[in-house]
Amino acid sequence: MKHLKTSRAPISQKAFVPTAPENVDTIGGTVTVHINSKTLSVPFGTTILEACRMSDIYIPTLCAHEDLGIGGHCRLCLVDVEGMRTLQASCAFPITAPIKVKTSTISVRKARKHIMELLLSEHVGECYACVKNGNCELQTLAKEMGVDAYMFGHPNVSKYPVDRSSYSVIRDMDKCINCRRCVRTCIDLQEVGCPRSYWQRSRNSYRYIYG
Amino acid sequence: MFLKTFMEFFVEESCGQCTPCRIGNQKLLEGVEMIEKNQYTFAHINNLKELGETMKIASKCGLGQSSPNPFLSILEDFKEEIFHSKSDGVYK
Repeated sequence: MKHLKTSRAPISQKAFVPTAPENVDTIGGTVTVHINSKTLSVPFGTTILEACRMSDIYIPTLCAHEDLGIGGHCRLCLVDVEGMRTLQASCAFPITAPIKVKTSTISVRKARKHIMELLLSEHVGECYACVKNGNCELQTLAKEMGVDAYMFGHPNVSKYPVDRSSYSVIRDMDKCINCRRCVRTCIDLQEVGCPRSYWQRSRNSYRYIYG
Repeated sequence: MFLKTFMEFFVEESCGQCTPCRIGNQKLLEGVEMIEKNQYTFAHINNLKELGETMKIASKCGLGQSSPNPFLSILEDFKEEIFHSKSDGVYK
């Protein structure tokens, strides 16, 4: 149990986690999982992502954060669960029954690469002209997945003006990939809900407003 | 084209939470528009078909899982009608 990271979110904002028996050794306290021919027994209600991190199996993530609630927006952490019709986001899949999981089948890797290409097709600008060059999660993951050409295009024309109205935060919406960490942090941890996102139909994109 | 109205509907109705549905539908719509203007390459169409298969299994909800169906099936069943104008010209 010591591997499980506790969320700092207030109780009202915590995601639903099925209640486990207090004593893990009792019947039903742990669930057996097969991940890539490894057999684990994890506490009831652990997500697949946590189980994989316990046993050093790598899964790429962008929107998942241990302090925040369940997101499941970026879909980069897709895994193949046996018996399911579609691929499942491992950060949003609590294990409540014995399942078999595969984390690097061909379809999973293809889906991850497609999703990364899609994210990069809305990510304006070149990496070398960026402040975060060399210290960027998106860049690292793109390199890992072997994105060598932009399959679905890559915009170079800026869509949004850079917001420098605050002294502490500079906001460049051209770089936004809609992981919603900023929105979820303000809702889950601060319980303020200052940044809000709303879907703008005329432009087919999210607009984030502060205040 | 009839397919364009479908894809415009899906782009508009997507809630925009998960990536494959939000950006994928836009890319499929762009592909349809390219076919309409005869500015496509077959390599790109094949990429879009693979993207559609990905969207079917990777999206969060039923809308994203079913939105590439008209694109895929129309391109599969009406191949000759759609690509007819290109067939006597030069393949790009």
